[in-house]
Amino acid sequence: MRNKVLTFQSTHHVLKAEKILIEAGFKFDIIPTPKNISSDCGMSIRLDSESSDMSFLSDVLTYNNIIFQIYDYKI
Amino acid sequence: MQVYLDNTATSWPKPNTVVESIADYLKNYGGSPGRSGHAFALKAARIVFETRELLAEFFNADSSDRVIFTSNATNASNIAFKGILKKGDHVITSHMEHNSTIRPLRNLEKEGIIELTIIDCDNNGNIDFDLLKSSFRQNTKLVSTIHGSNIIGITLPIDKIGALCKSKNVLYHVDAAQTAGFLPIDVQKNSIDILTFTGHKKLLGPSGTGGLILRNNVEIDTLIHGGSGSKSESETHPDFYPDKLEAGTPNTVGITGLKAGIEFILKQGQKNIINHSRQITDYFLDSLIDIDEIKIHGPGKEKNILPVISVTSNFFPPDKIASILDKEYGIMTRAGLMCSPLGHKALGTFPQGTLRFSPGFFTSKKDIDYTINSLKQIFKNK
Repeated sequence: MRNKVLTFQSTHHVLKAEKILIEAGFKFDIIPTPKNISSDCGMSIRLDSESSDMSFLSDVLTYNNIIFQIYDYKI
Repeated sequence: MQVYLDNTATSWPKPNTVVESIADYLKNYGGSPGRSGHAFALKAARIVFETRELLAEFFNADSSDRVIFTSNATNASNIAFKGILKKGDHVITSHMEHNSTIRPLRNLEKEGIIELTIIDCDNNGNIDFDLLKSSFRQNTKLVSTIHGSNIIGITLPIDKIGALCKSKNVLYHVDAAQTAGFLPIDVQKNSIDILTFTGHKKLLGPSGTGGLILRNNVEIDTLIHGGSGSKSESETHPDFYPDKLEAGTPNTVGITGLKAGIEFILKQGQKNIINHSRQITDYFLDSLIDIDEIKIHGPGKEKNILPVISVTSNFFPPDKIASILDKEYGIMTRAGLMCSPLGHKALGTFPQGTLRFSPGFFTSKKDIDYTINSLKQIFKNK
């Protein structure tokens, strides 16, 4: 279950995060940011926090100066 | 026969891949990048993102979010000057500058915002480096120079000027309109804080593309506020790059073409492009020497690094020769001041200007032979 949503400052940063996270081996989707999340931009990354190393994810994005926020994904 | 020798104004023809990528965007996925999450918007956003990444790598930028797209080099330089300079700042520039630098700076000077010093260049385009060195003041905020001239094929020593600015803790802006895509530029190695580039000349993209590369230490206030696709709930414009300096829908159609242009250059290899240009320019210069009626301006073959040749003649003014070449022989050149009155003053060719030949990547020796023969005929009939 992909239960977490990552939001970013801009589309550029979503796509930069996508590139970095693919290189780091993460599995995720790009989705339109859900309406119930206070969005920074129109697209977000959705992934499963159970099977993903969230601490590594945080480190790798921070190391690349990507600002992000994590939300619960609710349908 | 048609021969296009005005590549300094804009390069033509463009690689097929540039034309195809533009048509592909318009025909197959013409969405607005960053404005929605649907398939077309996402594909368009990816193209813009990938182009930024390519440019960041190409110029060795600190980060791809500091690659800012503008509609051309003039817009880029204006954004930089007007977003950085504050009342009381001193700016140093050179006599080789294009009006895209001189006019915004003269305007800021006229409005009483900046003090401006313009450093002399000799008639071969060499900047007076000692004068530059002694022109720094306590309030010097920025040095701005052109990289390659648009009149003669010379370059300014950006490495040396960049190092000097770094030692003085002054920002260095380089106008690389004529060189970006042609000569290697490394903003970190060359100590460039702000780089202006255009997409439609040596990067082989379409017109309407260009931009800035900003180092991490540079802060620019935005002149334009509006839609960015980000922070839509906020009534104020975002303060992070690139969105901060890019209000409004970007020129996606142009950027797709620019991406293909850069990829073409990378595939050909910059070294091969330079070698081809060198051969054509040297061949052109050697052939021109045979025409006694023509005077070639500039420092000669050795230092004629860019494919730009300026000539004058005692028999006809430059615009007359350009007009005959165009109308009777189908050869397209440029005559006059080329938006660089100060440069022509330095070269001693003001106010009449010169006749400029600027071959490009697709110019052949056959084109040059035809041009030389046409010139010979024009002077035979004088």
